[in-house]
Amino acid sequence: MKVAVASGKGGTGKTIVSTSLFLSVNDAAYIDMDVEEPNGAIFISPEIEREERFSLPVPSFNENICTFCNACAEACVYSAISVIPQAKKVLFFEELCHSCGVCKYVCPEPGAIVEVPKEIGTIRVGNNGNFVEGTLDIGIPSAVPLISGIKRYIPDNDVVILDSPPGTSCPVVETLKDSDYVILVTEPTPFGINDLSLALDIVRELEKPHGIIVNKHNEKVSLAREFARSKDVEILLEIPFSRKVAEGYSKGIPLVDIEPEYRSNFKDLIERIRVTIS
Amino acid sequence: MKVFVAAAGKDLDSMVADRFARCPVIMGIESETGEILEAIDNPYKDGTGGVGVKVANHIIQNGYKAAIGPQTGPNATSALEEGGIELFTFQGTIRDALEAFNKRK
Ligand code: SF4
Ligand code: SF4
Repeated sequence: MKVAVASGKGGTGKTIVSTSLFLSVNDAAYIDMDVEEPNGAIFISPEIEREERFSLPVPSFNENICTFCNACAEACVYSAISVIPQAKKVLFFEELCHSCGVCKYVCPEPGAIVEVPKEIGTIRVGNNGNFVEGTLDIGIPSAVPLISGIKRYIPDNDVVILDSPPGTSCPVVETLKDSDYVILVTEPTPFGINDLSLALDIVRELEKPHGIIVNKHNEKVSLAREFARSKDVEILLEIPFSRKVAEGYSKGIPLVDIEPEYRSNFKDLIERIRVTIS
Repeated sequence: MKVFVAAAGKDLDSMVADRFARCPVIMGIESETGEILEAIDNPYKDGTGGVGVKVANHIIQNGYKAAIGPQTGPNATSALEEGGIELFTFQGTIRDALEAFNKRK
């Protein structure tokens, strides 16, 4: 089963939770889909076995064959093409291109457009395939293609943890849509609850079973509890604020190594999720 | 000469728009006579991306030789320059812009 770990914003402890799940459960795999800021590796220290560049096809124009009919530019909804008959030129704005392939499809002149690969990021696989992460190159407009590319590397372990990007945009949806269950991680602050509420809307829209983990819970934990009650969501686990954990985290030590008793909590949690979705 | 204007309204007393690709009205004028060739609500105005390229393509494909408006964005600028379109920046009414354009060296 695939369990996605998401949060309405960054810095809520999403990585603490996802790496702890991975380290506590037997036959688990960890997939870092937070490609703009992958940091699970800091806590898992994987042995990387394979590293591959990931690319997307983009058009390349042969101006000797092109008749400058403008069909490609008219068809491109992302306006990535400018055909300039006066100069016998085609300008291609790569940063606007979404690799949809429509330009090549509509071009009446065979060979005027060929597709060439454009590298957008790197995918790394380690720990016998049980660790996968993607890193998006700087300046690439969308993380979605790389996230969907990572999915091909997901192994068929019993439990697969998907570390989602933070927020509520397209990359998050791309990650969550293939999951069987979504854990939302939040902090019990007014801002935290507000972001949680937005994330919850998306998860419900996608009709995924879900629950909440409250990280750094303190005397304000009632905020999260009230929210959960009002929205009828289960709180799966509360992780109290602890100085020891925070210090360990800043040194890249996983929660379950600092406080080993959490291992059984995370194990239980996975078994409860298994029951929920079966 | 067939001139494109990024316009705020549909007649010569309207202002030149203060945004190029997202101008309210796309206007074409015959610069010698002041005849309005086209004046349409800019269909690209509210697009999310590549608006500059869309308007530049409109200018290039419709045979305009010059474009009057505010500063153009980087993508539109490179397309218009490749297309040999003369860029004439102006603030004020379209009528004044035309006069200044016709007097340019
Ligand atoms: S559709 Fe093909 S032939 Fe027409 S302008 Fe584009 S590349 Fe050239
Ligand atoms: S692949 Fe799609 S987005 Fe890219 S230039 Fe062609 S039509 Fe436009």
